[in-house]
Amino acid sequence: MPLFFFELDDGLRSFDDNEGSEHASAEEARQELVAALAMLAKDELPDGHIRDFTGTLRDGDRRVLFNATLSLRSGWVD
Amino acid sequence: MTETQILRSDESESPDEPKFSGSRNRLLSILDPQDFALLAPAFERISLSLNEILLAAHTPIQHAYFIEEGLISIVADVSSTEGGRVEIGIVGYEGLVGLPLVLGADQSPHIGLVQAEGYALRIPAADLQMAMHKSASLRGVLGRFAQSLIVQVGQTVYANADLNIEARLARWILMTQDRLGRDELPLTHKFLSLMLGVRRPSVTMATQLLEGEGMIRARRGRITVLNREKLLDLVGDAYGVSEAEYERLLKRA
Repeated sequence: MPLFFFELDDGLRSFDDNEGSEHASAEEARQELVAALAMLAKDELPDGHIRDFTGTLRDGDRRVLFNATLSLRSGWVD
Repeated sequence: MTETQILRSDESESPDEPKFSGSRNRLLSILDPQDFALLAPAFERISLSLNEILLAAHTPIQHAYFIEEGLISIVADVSSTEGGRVEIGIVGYEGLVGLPLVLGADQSPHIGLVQAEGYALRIPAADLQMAMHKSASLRGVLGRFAQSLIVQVGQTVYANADLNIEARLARWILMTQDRLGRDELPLTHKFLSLMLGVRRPSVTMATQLLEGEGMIRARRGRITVLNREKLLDLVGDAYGVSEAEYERLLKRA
C-alpha cells in the first residue's frame, strides 16, 4: 500500500508526521485526514470565536496532494 | 493467527503442590486452595502470540484463559474492515478472557485479541463450568472480576465521550503499563488507531502532544513511559476508578 504523510494545525499548534502511514488509496488517506481534522475541531472548540483547523495530505515523496480547512467564524451581535 | 503452543505440562513440580500453583495470574493467586485445586487438573499453559484471536465473534467459546503475562483487547468488531473495530476493554495478568462462560453464555459478539504476547493457563469451558457449579466461592471471585470489567468498560465509555484524544491515549497507556508491568510498551500507531477508535493522523498528533510534554517517548513500534505522574494528571478521574474498584473487589487474602 502507498505511503502518505499527514500534517494538522489547529491555529495554535501544528503537528508534523515523521513516520507516515500506509493507506489503500489517496481517497482513503483523504478520508483519514478530514475525519482527523473534524475530531481535532471537536476537541478544541468552543475555545475561541475565530479558529481555522487545517490539514495537508502528502504522498510518499512528500508532495502535497490535498489541502483541507475547517473554519469557525463567530461573534456576539452587539 | 497462529497455532496455540502448549509450553509445558509442569509434571516436574512437587507432588504436594497442585500443578501451576505458582501462577502469576492474580485471580488464581487469591483463590482458596480448594477452588484452585478444582481448576488445576484441567489447566494447560499456552503461549499467546501477537494478533492471535483467543475469542472469535459469534462462535462457541472452547476455553477460558487466565492470563499470566501479555495483554488482550476485547474488541467490538462492527464491520469487516479495520475501521470498524474499536477496543472496549483490556485484560492482562489481573484477569480472565472468556467471561461469557462465567456468566453462563456460550459465545459473544466481541473478539479477544492478543496485542502483547505472553502466556496463559487455559481451561476447557466444560471444566470451568463444572468447577463453578461445585464452588460458590469460586463463582464469587469470577463474578467480582466480571463486575470489575463492567466498571472498566463503563469508564472507557466515559473516557471516549468526554476526553480529548491525547487524554484517551494517556489513559490507554496507563492501563497498558499496569498490565505489562514495564515502561516500554509495544504499541504501533496503527494499533493505537484501532484501539482508540480514532484516525491515524489523530494518533500521530496525540503522540506528539504527550511527547512534547515529556510524558512519553515514541519510536517506531513502541512507546516508553517517561513520566507516569504527568499522564495521571492529564487523564484525571477517567483513570483510577475501575482500578480502585478492582482492588476493592479482588483483595488479596
